[in-house]
Amino acid sequence: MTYQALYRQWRPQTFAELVGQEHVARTLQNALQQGRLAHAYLFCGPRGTGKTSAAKILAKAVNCEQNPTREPCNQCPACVGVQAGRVMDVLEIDAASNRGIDEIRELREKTRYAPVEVRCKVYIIDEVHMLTAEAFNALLKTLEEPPPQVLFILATTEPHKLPATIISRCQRLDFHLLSLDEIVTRLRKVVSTVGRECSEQALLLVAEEAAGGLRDALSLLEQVLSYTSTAVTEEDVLTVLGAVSRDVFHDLTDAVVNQNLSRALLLLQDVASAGKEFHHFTQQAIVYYRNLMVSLACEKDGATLGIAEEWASRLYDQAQRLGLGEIGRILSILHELLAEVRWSARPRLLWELAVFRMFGYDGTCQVAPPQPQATLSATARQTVGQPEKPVKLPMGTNEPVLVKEVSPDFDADQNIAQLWPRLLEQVKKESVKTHALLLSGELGSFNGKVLEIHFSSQFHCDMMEDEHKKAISKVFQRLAGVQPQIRCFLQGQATPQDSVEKDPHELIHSAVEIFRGQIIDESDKQ
Amino acid sequence: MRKDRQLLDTTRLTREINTGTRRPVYLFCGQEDFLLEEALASLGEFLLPQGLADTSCSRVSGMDTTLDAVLDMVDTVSLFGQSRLIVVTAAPYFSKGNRLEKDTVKRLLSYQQNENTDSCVVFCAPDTVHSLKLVKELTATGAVYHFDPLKATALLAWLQEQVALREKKASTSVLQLFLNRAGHDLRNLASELDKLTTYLGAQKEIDEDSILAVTVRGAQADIFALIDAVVYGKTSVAMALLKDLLVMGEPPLRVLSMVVRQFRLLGEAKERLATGEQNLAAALSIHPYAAEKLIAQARRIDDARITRAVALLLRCELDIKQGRIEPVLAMETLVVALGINVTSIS
Repeated sequence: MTYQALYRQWRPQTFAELVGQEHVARTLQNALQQGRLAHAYLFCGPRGTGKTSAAKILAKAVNCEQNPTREPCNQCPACVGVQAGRVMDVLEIDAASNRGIDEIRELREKTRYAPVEVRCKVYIIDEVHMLTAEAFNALLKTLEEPPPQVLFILATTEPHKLPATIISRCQRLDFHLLSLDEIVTRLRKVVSTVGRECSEQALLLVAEEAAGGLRDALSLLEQVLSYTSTAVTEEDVLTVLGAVSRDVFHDLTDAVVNQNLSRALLLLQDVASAGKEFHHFTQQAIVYYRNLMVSLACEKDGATLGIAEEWASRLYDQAQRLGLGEIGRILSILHELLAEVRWSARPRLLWELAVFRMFGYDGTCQVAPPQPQATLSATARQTVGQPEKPVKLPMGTNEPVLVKEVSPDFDADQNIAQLWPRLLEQVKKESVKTHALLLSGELGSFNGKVLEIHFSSQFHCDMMEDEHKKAISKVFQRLAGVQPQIRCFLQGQATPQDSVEKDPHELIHSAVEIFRGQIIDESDKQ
Repeated sequence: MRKDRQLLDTTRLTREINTGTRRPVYLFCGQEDFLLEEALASLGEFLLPQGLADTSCSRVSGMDTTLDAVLDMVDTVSLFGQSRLIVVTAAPYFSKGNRLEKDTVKRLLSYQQNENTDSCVVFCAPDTVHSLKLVKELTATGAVYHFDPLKATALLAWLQEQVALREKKASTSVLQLFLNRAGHDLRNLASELDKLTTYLGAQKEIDEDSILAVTVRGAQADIFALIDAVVYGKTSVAMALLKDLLVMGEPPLRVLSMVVRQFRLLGEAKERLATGEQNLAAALSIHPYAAEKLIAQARRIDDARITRAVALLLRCELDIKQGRIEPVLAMETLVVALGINVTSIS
């Protein structure tokens, strides 16, 4: 067991080596030098940001023979002893496995004794949020007024799980996620020290994947270094991650923007033939579109995204071309896809269907007359089976026509008129009462979401209660595949436009729907 | 000045201690227990001889001690020193619905006039009713000290004092920034200030950068800033804040519920402001400092925006709970959507 993992070899030994946490280092160093150390510290921060390392450095520094000092010397017996874990007075406790009250009681007992080997007793309690509530309470009193010569360092990734009473007794220091640059600089140094070569793109990718945690970055780097024996390229990193290059998503999105369906399907084919897993691919796609959304909303703020500058601006360009509404639409398609793709035997087919939807062929094609449907399925078959063929088709004429034919505004009304008699017939089977009511009404309009029915008398209009609406909506779904909202209006009365958006009581309706409630009394107190 | 009104009793006590004035009876009331504890500590330092603080000071809880028993204790002579300090925490004698025997009241009042006593009793009664006859009489002699939660101006004044104590300097705008980040809990503010002092070292002036580097934002303050950013249409800032919150391990649903709460408060605040409500903090039972910030936000946002926000929040919660969307992404989408509403309007 002579080999040590990279992140252990590269654990910082002095405050100066602590990457990306200058504020913590400076606070602790000043405290050491001025003798203003708090009796208890709480180190909070995401994993791999240097909490335990900082705690160990602090333990060395307070006990270093050159104290007061800004850095541990790492040479005196005390420093060396603490480093090797030989000093009895510096205890590192894993609170995840010693979480009970008994362990804490024992710890409390021991704090009373003076340190044996070094100047100051240091208790490093890692993962402190795992302590039980009783254990926390047992710790409280000791933490409030620990005996002199005792220093507590609590470290946790989840400070919100600690009781407020614990937090208020400690000096809290927050560790931040490392920036992309900081990680890359560190990785570059590691790579050159171990005498290997690594392309800049590969390093960036490793750093992005680590999302601000240096330990994750070093672990991944180690994997990649052992995967290949030559210089590390971006490809190698992607292979180790089992991921697809971001270029694929960029191209896919470009294809959506340019309405180039065949290009999109070809890209899918590439992914499939490269043996990538579609579930992971979907997750990556979601991350990509999420980045597009954030980049557009935050106006190209690379730091928020945590990705390289160059990509941040490429994303921003693309996001601007796509628009926020479109990004949101594609994201919701991808979300539905993600739920299905994991359990599906044919994930590629699902993806292809999702791509169709991204291109604008959505649920309404089922309502469309047989002709465009046939065209659509024919295209689908062709593209799935022989991806080359559609490439030869004249793009400009083919796709836009298709889109137009199935777009809801264009043909919904016309179809609905054809559908109406069948709807009446089916409703009659379902409920005679509803059918009778419906006979006195007339078909209004249908915009893909809301079906409007006009009545000549107020009486009938009022009679259309929820149960009838539900029945109609159900039958409608059976016939057309869409479950619409049903609205009734008195004939001659102006119908509110865009009724979905403008309904003042929409919230109330949805509350009633969600909680299965009932409106008992309506009154406006104002 | 407002500062005087709110910190009046703290300064009065300090002045009395400096001039060596002592009283047999003190009544500390108000909800700000940090100020109260500090006052107790300085009183203890003043009254008790060095080294005898442990033996001459007794702390009893008012919950399980009657006023008579307390007065009996007062009459007992201290074992070693001349002075004796009795602290009664959570004293219920001065609150609503607590009936005292006439004799006991008389006894307390006569004791309070006794100038030759060595003992001194401090009642800590957070919910004192000032209309009680006994309290009125104590107030007349100056034995009642108020420690109420500080409003913005007084809070700033208090902070300036603390900064000066630590031999640092800071401008008002910098202190405001500090308050925005560290919240308004005095205990937390004091400990954050200690940390800041250590961080600065020899540097005298507190600057913005050091505050941004060192101070820890509470989740509540973060949510507040998040809503602020959303209200003013700074989506980029809002996204960064959201990321911070989630990185620190806050569960997305909790963040969502805090955002919901903030918007609900905002709506309620608007409504109440419209009806001419004066004391918003009491009406909504929130901290006065938070109430002042809320008013500023409420002035910036119109009803339509709040309604739209509520609809978005509802949809977001439903989406998460029905498993339609991954929670972190849902929150991000929500923040973007909330921001968009604003930019498209303003």
